[in-house]
Amino acid sequence: MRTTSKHFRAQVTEALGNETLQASLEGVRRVMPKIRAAAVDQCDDFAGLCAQAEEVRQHSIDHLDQLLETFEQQVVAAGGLVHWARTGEEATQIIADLCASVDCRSIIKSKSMVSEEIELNIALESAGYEVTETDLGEYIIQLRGEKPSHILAPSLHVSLAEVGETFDAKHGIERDVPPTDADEMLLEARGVLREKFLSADVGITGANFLVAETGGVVVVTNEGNADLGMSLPDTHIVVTGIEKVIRSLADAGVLLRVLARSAIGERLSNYTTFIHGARQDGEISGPREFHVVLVDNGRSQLLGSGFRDMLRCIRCSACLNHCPVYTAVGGHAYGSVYSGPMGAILTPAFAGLPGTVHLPNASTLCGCCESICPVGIPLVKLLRHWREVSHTQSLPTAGERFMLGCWRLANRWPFIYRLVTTLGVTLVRSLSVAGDGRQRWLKRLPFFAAAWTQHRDIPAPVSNSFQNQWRQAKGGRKP
Amino acid sequence: MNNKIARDEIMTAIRSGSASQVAQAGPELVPAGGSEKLCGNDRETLINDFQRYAAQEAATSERLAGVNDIPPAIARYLQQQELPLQVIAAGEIFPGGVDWSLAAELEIINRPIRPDGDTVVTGCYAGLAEAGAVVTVSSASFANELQFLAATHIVVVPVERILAGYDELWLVASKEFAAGMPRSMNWIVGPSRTADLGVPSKLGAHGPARVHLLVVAR
Repeated sequence: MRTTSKHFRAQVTEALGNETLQASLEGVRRVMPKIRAAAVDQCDDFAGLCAQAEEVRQHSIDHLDQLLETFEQQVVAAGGLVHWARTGEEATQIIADLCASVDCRSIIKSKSMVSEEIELNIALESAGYEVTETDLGEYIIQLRGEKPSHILAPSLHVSLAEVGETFDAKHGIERDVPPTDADEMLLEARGVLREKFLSADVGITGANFLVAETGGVVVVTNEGNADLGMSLPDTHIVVTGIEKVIRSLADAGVLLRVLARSAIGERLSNYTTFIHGARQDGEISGPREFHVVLVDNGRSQLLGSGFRDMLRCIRCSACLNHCPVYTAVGGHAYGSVYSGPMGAILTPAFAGLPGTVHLPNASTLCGCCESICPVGIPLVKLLRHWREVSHTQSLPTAGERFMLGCWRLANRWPFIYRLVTTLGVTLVRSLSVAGDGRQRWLKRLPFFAAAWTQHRDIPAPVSNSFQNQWRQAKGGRKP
Repeated sequence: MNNKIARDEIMTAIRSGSASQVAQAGPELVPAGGSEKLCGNDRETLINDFQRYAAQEAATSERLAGVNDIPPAIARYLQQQELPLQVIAAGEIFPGGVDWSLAAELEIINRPIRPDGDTVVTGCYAGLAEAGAVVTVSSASFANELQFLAATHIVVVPVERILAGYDELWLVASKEFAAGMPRSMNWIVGPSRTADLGVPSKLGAHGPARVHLLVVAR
């Protein structure tokens, strides 16, 4: 998987200065946690649902080989074919070959993070096919030649005015000024994409889940674009990761109960579709060919690693929406199609740690992501684990290693710790200014610490340390 | 490339990864389905929940006393929405059929659906009180893409097909589709929508901008 994660710091600086992006992220911070909390509050026992969902996903990971075998048998029985891809390159080649085999010219796609991961569009377009993304957000960024900035809302970084300018530049409609009205843009995109749907030879979708029991493919959208893509073209190709397989339709119900609530604060997304194979006897519509391309691309290696729990992820994006780092810098700063806490763990696994070492450090480890994960992934532990691995591989810079060494020394010797913190607090407080009440604030720090106060004020530490207060309260006993 | 070689290599990698943490494939670890307490058992509560949760997703609905009320109700709805009094009837609308002559002003059109703008009336396999969703299934008599191509989707829901939730659906479906699942089972709650053009989300992104449910007693 290709990334630009090694430029994380520069990308963060760019993101923090992007006013359009910052306005969108403010919306995420303000709205998404609230609507999720409201949906959770309507549940009698959301924690119980999450426990069930975690159990379902853990069962999948623990029995992946058996479930995949059963799934394959059932797909074949329903008239479909299963293709196995060890790498992203293999997957794109398989799909290009399938398109060639049906004399395809135009392809419609619905949003699939795996297809982003393997850069499917680039491969298909270079093979001469016209590929049209049909999720509206994906369509917008495809027209702009950009990458997704959120796994569910890929065009989060694009303002409405910019969408209008993009449509004006790409749709070839004669008019005096670009559209500015959202309803007008919606109708225009609907009209353009409807023509693509009706003329496409192949429809490509991802999958939210694969059901071993029946060979079913579960696809969830709000727009209904995947449903058109799965029913109109003569060939339907599903591309997804091997870890998406679950045991049964009943298990799918368990996961659907937590997916929409966690993702968009709804009981259920508008369209949830269970596909079982190709057109059946007597049917007058539906694809004549049905293919499922199962992509490994590093997933099987995670099974035996310390990152096994990450395979439970159902891509709900709740961890992005609640992360103070993601909601400050957005997805492009991560330089990977997977961003936020889940992306900071998956990206090094799929792309290698040396070029992505900044990502596991792009977290305050506040634990908010872990507390709202519907399938109980220990995200903080996994982020820490990447940090440990990066340290053992000497990937942090010499300066970072030096500072960590100093921290270790101070923690081993209480005298040094007290001396450093006393001097440090005195120095830092001398740079602070008075605020409301007794609180003092740091508005500008000098030299290497300047970045800490570039975008916000920091409360100054109190002069009487916790250790001093403890001693005073306990009559001189050490904490 | 060889599909079997790739398959075998992936399976080998999975088994070597799994073997370190799972000694052997255990018994069925997961109970069948969740058990969220959302709906009462009495039919009236189910129907109310079904309509309430559908309304939360911008679907409209009304209750009808019987099958003969369906054509007039459709005509009335289209008039209220200032839509043409023409519909495409796709598949079986109601068990035993519908007498369309009961609404003379309503035209049942028999032509391919226009790229956009038609109203499509369908029946449904079930209603799910848990989410306010209707369930449709593709079949020899039902080209399910029509419900996505429509500008307006009117769904006729027999009250006895309103189920408590997902678990009950799987119980029913496992018996009725014992020979094999339909090619496409669609759960639909409310109109097509997108939040990619700002908040509040816009209706009618790709599929219908209006979904109207007729909840019909026998």
